[in-house]
Parts: sequence; structure tokens; C-alpha cells
Amino acid sequence: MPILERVESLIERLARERQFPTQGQTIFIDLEHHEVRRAYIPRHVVEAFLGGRGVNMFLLHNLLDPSLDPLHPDIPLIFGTGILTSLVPSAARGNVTSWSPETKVILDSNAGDYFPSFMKLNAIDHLVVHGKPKMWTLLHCEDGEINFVDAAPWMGMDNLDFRAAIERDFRGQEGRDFGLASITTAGENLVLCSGIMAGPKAIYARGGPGAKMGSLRLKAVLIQGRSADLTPAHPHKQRNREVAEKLLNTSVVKNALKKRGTPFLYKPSRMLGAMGTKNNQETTWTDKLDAENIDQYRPGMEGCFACPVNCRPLNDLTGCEHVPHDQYIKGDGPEYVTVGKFGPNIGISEVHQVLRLNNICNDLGLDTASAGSAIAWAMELYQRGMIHPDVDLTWGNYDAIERLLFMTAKREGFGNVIADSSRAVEMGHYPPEALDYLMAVKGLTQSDPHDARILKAFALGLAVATRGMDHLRNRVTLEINAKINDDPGFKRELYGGDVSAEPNSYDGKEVAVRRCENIFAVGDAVGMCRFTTKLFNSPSLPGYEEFVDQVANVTGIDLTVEQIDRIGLNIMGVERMINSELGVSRKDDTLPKRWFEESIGVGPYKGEKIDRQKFDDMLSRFYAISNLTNEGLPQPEFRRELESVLTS
Amino acid sequence: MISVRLPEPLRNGRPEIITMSAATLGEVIDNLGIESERDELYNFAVNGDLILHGEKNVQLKSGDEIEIVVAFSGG
Repeated sequence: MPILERVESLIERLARERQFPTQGQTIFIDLEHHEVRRAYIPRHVVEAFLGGRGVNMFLLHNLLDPSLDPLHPDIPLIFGTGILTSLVPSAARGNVTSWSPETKVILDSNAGDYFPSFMKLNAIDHLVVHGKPKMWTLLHCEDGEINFVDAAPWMGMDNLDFRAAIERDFRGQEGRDFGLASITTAGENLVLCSGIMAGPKAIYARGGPGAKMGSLRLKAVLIQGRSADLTPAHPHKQRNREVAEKLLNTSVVKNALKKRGTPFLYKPSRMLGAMGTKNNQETTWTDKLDAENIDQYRPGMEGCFACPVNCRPLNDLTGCEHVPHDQYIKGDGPEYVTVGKFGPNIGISEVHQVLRLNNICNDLGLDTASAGSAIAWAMELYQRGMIHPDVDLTWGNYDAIERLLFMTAKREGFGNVIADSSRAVEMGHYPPEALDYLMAVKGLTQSDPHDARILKAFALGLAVATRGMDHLRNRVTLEINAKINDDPGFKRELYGGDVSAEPNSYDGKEVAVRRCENIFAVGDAVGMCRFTTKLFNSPSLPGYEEFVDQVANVTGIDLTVEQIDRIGLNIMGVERMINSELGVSRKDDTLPKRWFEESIGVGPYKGEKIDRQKFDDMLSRFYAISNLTNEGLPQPEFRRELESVLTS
Repeated sequence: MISVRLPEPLRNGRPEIITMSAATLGEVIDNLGIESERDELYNFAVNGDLILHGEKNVQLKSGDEIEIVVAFSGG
């Protein structure tokens, strides 16, 4: 069925009036015909999926035609904002959802900064774009009006120049006057490891959203003004103060996130012998990249909309004699992921080099996880003599890597291979044997640079994550914490079941992954940052209790803790139903071959790897407690419940 | 004697590296006075090896070097 008919059919089932205070519209935009349709998500759908990622999945399920290709203009790109986004401290997030051109499974990527909040501030909960216009387009949304602007003046611009041009051309300041989601030349060139930039560094990164947006000839979405009526159902500011206080009194926020941002995570992974190095052939690297060695280059911290944490480190290399003094002398970041992917994973050990590559990736709109992983994969193939590129891919060859990033954005030379990311074999660039060295699940290369051969809950999470090998969907981060491991009663209370104290044990790990996957999905539906959601970085951060209270205050929808936990399960269930349509099954809930066959070579867990049988048993137990069949699909009764919401 | 390297938030006026006598890691934690609320999420490394469970019962010997590192691992 063509997308226009799918949209028509769906809109007939949506609501015409607001379903609760603070609800925004769901806007369907046909880029080809310049048509705009508006509706509201029905209350029973909100009660099943809340908003953000959850409702995005409802929309994708109804609009996806799996007989097409991910880059076909009838495959929609869906922006969603959390139901609490901009209304609760640290809830500044939103998701973009589609069919991934990088992985061919679901694309679902989360970002913060200002764009999701400006959606909410302009009464837009979801923005569904589809169709391919003759000319490149900039969508300008202001005071409820949607204008289709010819994007020709800004084509070919990367992130730094583009954001400066928009501030000049639309006379405003990002964050204060507008939110902006845009692609760079990499997105224009359909680079599969490119993202949608939501700020100087903030990026909808994973799964190739930049390429998907480029396939719709959509350069940017600019949302200007603050015209929404966001009067809550009940007073919510007192509870907000309590949420902020809880956030700011948590050790991880006080002592790490506010001071150094996520790079502090490099050190524990390195010391554990679990830092992915040289495409995970090795698992430890130099202490020169420890966060304290970045201190001298960090002039301050920034944050997302109305977030009291400010965990985004800035960098300034002025005065560093080793780097050119050009537009990349300063920037935002890096995050821990970038330190890992552009440090040990490709053999780089100098802080200033990692910072410069970070700044270049931010400008080029490249997902540092996918781009870094694709380069590391190529470097290992080069090391093994399996490929012969026009670039010297010796580990740590900084100059070649920097050049390769620009070539990737333009799809020039070997950059065209990196641009095809994990699909390089399918595209005919590499021999089939190269897949043995691809560190990916469901086509998505690993995000977190932590090598999970030791931590079995982390390993299971990477295997079952619906969008592929990504820690942000369900990582049981606290399995690395000795104080929690040594307190079985508290651990049982945290996860709702018995979980082994030993990080490398398989026992009970499915229980912890299930609990994390649920609460993280709910976090994405309400718009809460993962870093400040309970169980990700601390057991003491805001969780279901706070979410339930503020959903009730802001929307008037009363949920119990059990009901909101069920919403997390619902989101996972519909994602698995969509993936099933795309050919995903149990065989895809697995891990890279290397982790089953090669052991960790250093550290206190030397010799550790993933045992296939124990992993498979753990996977079966995970399915059983997740209300899934042995093939990883919702059980018939669960499926019927979901379908009644999805199609009614 | 064993040496303990303290991260900045836990120094409270103490030097970065302090020495003490202790037979177990549990004694070190008691001596440091950081047996605190559960939220103080730090791990210990003994001679570079991170301890992820059974923390208080880890046996120490003279010359051991202990480092306190942030325990979180999600970013």
C-alpha cells in the first residue's frame, strides 16, 4: 500500500482533539506534494506506549511497507518527543525512528540538546515526514505553521557553518529561539554512518538517520518560537524540585558527570581489561586517555534544555602545539564512546588527536560509534592483508584517519567503503570472510567501547537490543559495582529477582536485562536522559516513581508503577514485531563471533569469553521472562494485546 | 604498609596517596571512613586489578597498591 494510503488509513483512526493537557499534535508532512495533515494520538495508545520512542513505534508499525527499501521515500522518518520533554528536569530527549538503511532493522535513535524540547514547546509531539521533493527542503515550523523552504542556499554545508548560517538567516539563537535538526554533506551523500545533528554535538546517531533524512531531500527541520499551551493537569513544579534535588545529590552526577562528563568511564574499562582495542583484538590501552588527562583541554561544561546536570564537556586545544589552529581547535565533547572508538579501537593514544577527531566528526555529522567501528574493522582487514585500500590503514595512523573522515562524508575513494559502514560486504567492497571480524549485532556496530566478554548481563543486552549492538537500550551498568554485587537483598529489590553477584556469571542476568530494558524504554517514552535514569548510572536516580507522578501531574493520566513497567515491555514487544517483519529472528539475537571464540588476554578476568551453550540458555530464559516465544516474538496473547492497540 | 590513591572527591583534605596497615580491603574501607551510603559508587583496584565483588574480604599484603576508581560504566 503506498504511503499516502497508509497515512490516510492511520489518520482515520487517530483523534481530532487533544486527549490530555500538554498533548501536542502528530503532524504528517508529505514533502513531495507539500501537504500537511494533523491529528492527535488517541488516549488508549498513549496509555500503552506513552510517547517519544513508544508512540514512534506505533506510527512506524502502521506506516512501514517492508517490501520497499529503507531509503525509499515512502518509508517515513518519524521525530518524536517524550511525554515529559521540556517539562521535567533532565527530560530533554526525543527519538527519531524509521527503517535503518545501515542495518535493515528498526532505526531508533535518541538525542537531546534543544530540538526535542522545541517540538514540545511548539505543540508538536510527533513529526512524520515522507516523500521526495524535487528540490532539497528546509521545513520551517513557527507558531504552528509549516513552511517548505528551498534549502539550496545551505546545501553542502556541514554542521558548524550550517548552524551559524541558520542563526544568521533566521535571526535567532539556537536553544533560546529555536531548535534545529539537520544533516551535513554526509547525510546529503547518503553516508550510512551519518546522523541527524540536533546541536553542535548532539546527534541522532545510530542506524544511519542522516542517510534516511537525505533520502527525503530534507536538509533540516527548524522549529522556532514557544507557542504551545503547556499548562499541566496538576501542579508539577514542587515534584520537579524534588526530582532536580535527587539528581544533583546523586554521587555519579556530583562527582563525575558534572565535573568531567562520561570520559571518566574510560579508566574502569581499561583497568578491567575490557576496553575494546584494535577492533577488540585486544582489551586494554594506555592510561594517557584517562579523563584526568583531558582536564587541561576542558574549559567548561554545557547541558541540554533545562537540565541541571550539564554533563557535556567542551574542549579547547588552543595552545596545543600539535594541532592546526583551524575551526576544529574548539568543540563539544568528547563522550566516552568517542574516546573509545577514536582512541584504543583504532590505535590512537594522544588526547589531542582524539579531541580533534571528535570535533571533525561533530562537524561532518558522523556517528562516532559507527564511523569509528567501520574504520577499526577496515584496519583489522588491512592488518590481515584482506583488503588493499588507497589509504594506509596502519593502526594509529592519525593523518590517514583524519583524511578518511572527510573522504567518508564525500564518499570519495576508500571513504565510500567506510560510508557503507557495516554493509561493506553486502556492497561488494570486502570479501565475505570479512564478516568474521565485524563487531556488530543485527548490522549495528557496538556503541559502547566496553568489551563485554566478561560482563554477561551486558553481553546479553547487546545481543537482544532491538536496534542492534547498543548499550543504551538495556545495559546493566551496575553489574560492575562491587557494593551492589555484595548486597544480594538490595540487588534483588533493584532488579526484581535474583541476579548473580559475579560479573562473569550467566546466572540470573536475564532478570537484570529485562528490568533495564523496560525502564530505559519508558525513559525514552517520557523523554528522560539515560544518564539520569535509575539503573543506568546509579540506583538512586529518578525512576518509575517519579515518572508516574509527573505523568499524572502533566497529563492527568494515572498509571501505577506496574503499569508503566508494562509500557516498557510493550515498546520492546512492538519493536520485535516490526523487526520480525524485516526478517529478524532468534538467530539475530547473538554476539560477534570473536566473543565466542577468542578469550580476553589480560586483567583479572584473563581467559574469559562467551560460552555458546550458556549464552543460548540465558537467551531462552530471557525470552521466557519477557513474554516472548522461543523465536523472540511476543507470545500469542501478548501479541493480540499489542495488535489491539496498534490496529484498533 | 599499603598505599591508597584517593580520587579528589574522597580526599577531604587528605593527600592523594596515603599509607596504612590493613589485612583486608574491608579494613581499608573502615579506616578511610568511606563506608558510606550506597550511592557512593566507587570500586577498588588492588595492584591494578578491579575488584567487582567480594570486596571486603580481599586479603592484602604489605606493598599492595590500592586505587579507588569510579564504578559506573554507562556512557
